[in-house]
Amino acid sequence: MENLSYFLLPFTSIEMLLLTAVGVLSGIWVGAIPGLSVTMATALLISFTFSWELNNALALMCGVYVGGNFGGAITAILLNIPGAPPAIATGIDGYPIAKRGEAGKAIGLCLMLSIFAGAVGVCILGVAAPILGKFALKFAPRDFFLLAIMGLLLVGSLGGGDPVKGIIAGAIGVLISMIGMDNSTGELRYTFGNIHLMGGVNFVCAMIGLFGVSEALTQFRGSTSGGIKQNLTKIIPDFSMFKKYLPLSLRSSLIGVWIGALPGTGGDVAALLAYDQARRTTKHPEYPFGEGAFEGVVAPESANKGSIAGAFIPMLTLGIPGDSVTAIIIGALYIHGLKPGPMLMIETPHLFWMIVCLLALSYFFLMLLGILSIKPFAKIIEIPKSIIMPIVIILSVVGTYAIQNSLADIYFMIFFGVIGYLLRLSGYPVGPIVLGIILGPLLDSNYRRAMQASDNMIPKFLSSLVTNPISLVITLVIIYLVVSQTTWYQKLRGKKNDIVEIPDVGA
Amino acid sequence: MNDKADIQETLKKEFCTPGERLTALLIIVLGILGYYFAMGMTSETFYSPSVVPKLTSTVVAVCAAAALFRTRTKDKNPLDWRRTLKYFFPKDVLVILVFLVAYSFMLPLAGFNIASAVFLFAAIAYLQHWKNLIRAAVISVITVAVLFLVFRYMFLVILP
Repeated sequence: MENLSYFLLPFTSIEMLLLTAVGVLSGIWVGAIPGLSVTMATALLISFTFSWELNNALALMCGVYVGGNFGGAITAILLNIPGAPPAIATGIDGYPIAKRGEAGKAIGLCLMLSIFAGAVGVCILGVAAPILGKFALKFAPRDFFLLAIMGLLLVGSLGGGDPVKGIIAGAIGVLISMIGMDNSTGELRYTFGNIHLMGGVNFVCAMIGLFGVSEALTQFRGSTSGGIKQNLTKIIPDFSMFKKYLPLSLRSSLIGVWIGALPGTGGDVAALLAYDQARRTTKHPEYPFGEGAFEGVVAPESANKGSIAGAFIPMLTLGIPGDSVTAIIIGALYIHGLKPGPMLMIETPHLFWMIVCLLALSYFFLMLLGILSIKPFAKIIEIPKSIIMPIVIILSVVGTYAIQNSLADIYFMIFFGVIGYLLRLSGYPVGPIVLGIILGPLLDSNYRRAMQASDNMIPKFLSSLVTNPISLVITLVIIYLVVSQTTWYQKLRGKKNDIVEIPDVGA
Repeated sequence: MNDKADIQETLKKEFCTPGERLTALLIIVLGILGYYFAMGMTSETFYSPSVVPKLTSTVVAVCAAAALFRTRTKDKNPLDWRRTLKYFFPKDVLVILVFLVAYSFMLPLAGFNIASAVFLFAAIAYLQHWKNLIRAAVISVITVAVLFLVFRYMFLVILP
């Protein structure tokens, strides 16, 4: 009963309700603009909310987090340029859907199932947070290393029709992520004495270049005169369609909650894993994956919505952030004199239940404001490419500069744009490069910790991968992922190889 | 037959995509260089900072070699270097790239508003074949003004 009263706390303040709605709306717009990340928006919010009452500050932050996570999908679907890293997987099938003129339907379906997935996540957060939080802590460095390997194996399904080229692109991404100062030893790697390389290559900068600029350049290869007319008569999906994708959304949201609860992994990894899972488990999609399958949009979007609640689990129960946004929210809690950690739920239970309610409220506002935002956003794609693509380039420049106010980042972004464009034309997918840049540090740091824990002995390291139950399960999943890519396995299953193609080299 | 149609016609018959072998070769070189520079990093143990860069460079080089090896059964790309270059950089792409590089160098000199407006005007006007210049100018000015107001005052983002 006491917990219920804590849960209902936001309803007692009109200010909190309003701020949650404002947060969701601004989050949708911030998330939709490539380069303006939810992390950055939340960090900015700290700077002007630190003098506010904590409850109001949290209401705004939760709203921005949820809204921004949805906003990222909008530009991914409309322009094939993910507004935020979790939307990378969404664009693979979302953009072909938009090219069919069904962007409104795709975003509407995304929105409805996102809300469902978010609700699943919030329920799990409310019910099972303490248990899940403790379990997530049992993950050793070798498990995170295996998780990174598992993520990288997704290049098999994002490989542009050729797994070898996918692996090359993924490995190039990992190599790029090695640039800069090594976090554990301070040693400089691949910096060549250049001061701008010492901080490493920001993956958002690479993502904007590889997706934004290279997409714009690719679009200039075709006709730039007209836009794509969108059918916006039916944005809200009918119940049969909603019901059809509900089981997939549920599965994906559970993946999202789980991945989100693991410290250091976020919506981007969750979305890619869920996309891969959908591709493997969907028997007869209406459209093939990579050519506009609705399943290819539902799965990653449901997973990254689930990952929001998941990221709060270790944050609220253990004081460990699940992702970069929750790391900033932890900072906000510290600023307000609270100490996030196991005692948080004992000393300030109202805070836990209030956050659960704020997340639920954010999804409610997302439903209202998201529907209203679809039509104006979908009109963007109807603008002729000769106007929209130069604007996309300007947005890419602004977004890149906003990361750390560095002109060097703009040059890096243009460099990545040209490289991405050339690789796309040569049949190399750019998605795995970004995946490699994201997973590279996770793989490197955890491999080294695991090897250190194995006393620098390879046999001990290898045996630890199969003697621990969690490691064994992930190892078996990895073996399955590798075996399932072989022609031998596919012949055995009598299944056609349905590897999807990310690159779209324009008309 | 114009260049574009000629390229498309030739591509229907070919097996190696334009620049396929060259790209694979360049990636092999990238992998070798990656390994070479990783040799300069600390390498005393299996958890030294050089281990993952070395392993990754090896994967890059070996897989690119495999990609190159697979092209042995394919016919050489029939496009000569001039047409290959044209395939990768058609006029529109090349011009926009030149505008983009000029824009990036203009940013610190002229500031975000002027540089962006000039870039937008030039790009839109060029892509619309220098027709409707007034419309291009109006779109450029309004877009930059909106971007400036939204980013600077709503999102509190520092502009270049």
